[in-house]
Amino acid sequence: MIAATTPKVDWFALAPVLALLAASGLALLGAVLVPRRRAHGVGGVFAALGFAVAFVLSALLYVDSGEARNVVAEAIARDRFAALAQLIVCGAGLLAVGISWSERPRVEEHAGEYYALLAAAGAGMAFLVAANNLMVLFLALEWFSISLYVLSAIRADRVESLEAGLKYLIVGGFGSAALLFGSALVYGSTGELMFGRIAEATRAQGLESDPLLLAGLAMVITGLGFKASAAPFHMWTPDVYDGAPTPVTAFMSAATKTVALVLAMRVLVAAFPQLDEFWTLAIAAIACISLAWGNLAALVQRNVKRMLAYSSISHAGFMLIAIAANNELGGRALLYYLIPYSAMSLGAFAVLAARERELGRAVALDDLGGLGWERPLLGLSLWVFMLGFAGLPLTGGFWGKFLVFSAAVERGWTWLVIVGVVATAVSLYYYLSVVRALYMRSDLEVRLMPAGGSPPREGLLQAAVAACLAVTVGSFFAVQPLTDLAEAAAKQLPF
Amino acid sequence: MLDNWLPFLIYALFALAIPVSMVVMSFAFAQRPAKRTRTRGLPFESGVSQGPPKTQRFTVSFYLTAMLFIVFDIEIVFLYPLAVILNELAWFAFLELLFFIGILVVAYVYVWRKGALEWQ
Amino acid sequence: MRGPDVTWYLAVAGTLFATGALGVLLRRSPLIVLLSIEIMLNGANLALIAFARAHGQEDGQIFALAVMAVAASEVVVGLGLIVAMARRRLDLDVDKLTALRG
Repeated sequence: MIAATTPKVDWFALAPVLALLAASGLALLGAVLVPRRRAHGVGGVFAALGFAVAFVLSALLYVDSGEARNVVAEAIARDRFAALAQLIVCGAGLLAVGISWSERPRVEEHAGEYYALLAAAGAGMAFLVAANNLMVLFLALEWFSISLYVLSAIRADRVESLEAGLKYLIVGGFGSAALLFGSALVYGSTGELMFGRIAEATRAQGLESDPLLLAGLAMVITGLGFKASAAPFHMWTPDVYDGAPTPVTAFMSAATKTVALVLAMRVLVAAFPQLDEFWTLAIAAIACISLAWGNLAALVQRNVKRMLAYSSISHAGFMLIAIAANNELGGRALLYYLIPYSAMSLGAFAVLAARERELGRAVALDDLGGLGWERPLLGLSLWVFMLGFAGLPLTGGFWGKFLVFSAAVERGWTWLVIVGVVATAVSLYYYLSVVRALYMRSDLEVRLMPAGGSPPREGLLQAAVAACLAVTVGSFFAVQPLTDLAEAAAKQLPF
Repeated sequence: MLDNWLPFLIYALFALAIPVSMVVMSFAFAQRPAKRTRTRGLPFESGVSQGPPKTQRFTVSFYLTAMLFIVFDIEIVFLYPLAVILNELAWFAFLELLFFIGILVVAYVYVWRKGALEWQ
Repeated sequence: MRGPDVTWYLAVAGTLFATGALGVLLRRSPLIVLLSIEIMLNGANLALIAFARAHGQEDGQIFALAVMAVAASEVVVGLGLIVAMARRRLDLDVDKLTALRG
């Protein structure tokens, strides 16, 4: 006979996830129950409402979670660390809905499904950052991954989109399987699935050098590396970022990276504190490879979307430095870094989406010529996003890198800082080449003119880009309050 | 001793009875063509003939229905663990069950209204 | 001793996982690759169940059940994509999927 006790469910802790799940279900029903020409509007409104409500709920959760605790049979961590990451995800989702709105003529046929999947992916991500055991981790990871596989392929009329979806599925499935097998080995070694208890069992049974546990940890890191698109597990990134519809790429680049890195920090810090010698070195090595590979490959890209994909790999490298530091400063640095990074990433892809629509094809570096003059807001914003990626002052990217480096210094790993600084110097070259292209008048302008007079009015997209711009610049000036938020969240992890 | 093995014995008897009855009935009731035709000479497996000719293609409806079947079918596994502790959890289990089925119903309504269940 | 201990099951699970991983890396038909991913997941499932038995807990078994459902969803999405590609008569060979290159 199995003794079963009714678990106490803390509905408030689950509220952001449930709000997004409800939004997803309503958008899906809207896709089939309202007349087709209104499906886009209904789906978009439900998804936007879902993300907005979840944003507010996460904020309330942040305020209310002064004490970290585990709820729902210890499967869910209710703390500020999760709430802050949920805030970033929901903000990114809301902006992604705004960016997608202008894609209307392109996704008309699947509009309801598109927004339902976007909300479902957001729900899975909000679930993942609160995961407190290996089972919830795997389920949430697959929840948002499967949604993203379909989203990448949603423009089934384009070969590139289908191809991106299939590639993402195959590589993502491989990564998930590695993560799962790693989880099984960790479970086999310690007999526990809950993060905190894995750490307890490791200490109590002296499993610090158990080969089963080490192998499991290595495979878990591999699986998370795939999701965070860190080199050498990044091979899917450029293809998927390039082939997926650009608004989806914008959402993926911001939100997927956020949750994968936040979750990686939680699982490593909470479940494997005794093995930190091993995993800090492994993460530092992955960070170095990502920085080197991402930046060098970005140098030779002509397609701007692919260039940004490699740039996102190098940014994963920067944020992995914060994880490798394994201290509270690192946690603060990671959470702060993610705020301007998500905004810059969303914004940059949003500008590309607008340009792509004008041209009707993938945007090469030269295609940006004259954008700064034609559409001042988008041009100026892209300019700021590039400087932010490069980590120049007046953007949050500056403080992000600064905090990451200070965390590495506290850990005593100055060599990581040197790698990071060299990588930043290299990255300046390709980021500035975008800025240069923006304000170059080229004969492209002339070629564009017959296509149609004034640029299309894309109110929501412009608003989303403006919001990203505001966050990018604002996070530079509001660095103190934001780091306070991040610090309060990082304090709740057992460093 | 016998008590432990009795359920197994009954199970084994059933397992034996089913194929035996199938074979016996196929002899007793089958209407066999008088002479040996080509079809009779073909190897037989579970009523499925040797396999479709190489050129035959399945319609997309077939794949669609098969995939929908897999997805909805596998969701049942979540009900098994719940069934084991249904009594202990009482109303909580029932409400969880409704919540779970509710999500499935949303998916079902979508599939149905989308026309994916119509065989073309 | 009532039977093989958990190490043997782990060996089988590891073999399954490695077989699947090799399949993903070496085979070119997307269908076979999907099949190989399933084999990897099943290897992990076997390990979970064996360990759950060895530790005398249910956690691992429930985990395995959940994984089965997830695996089915994943493979259905994969099959859907493959059918969509087949309807457009694209070459079903992962090495020839080169519309995206850089």
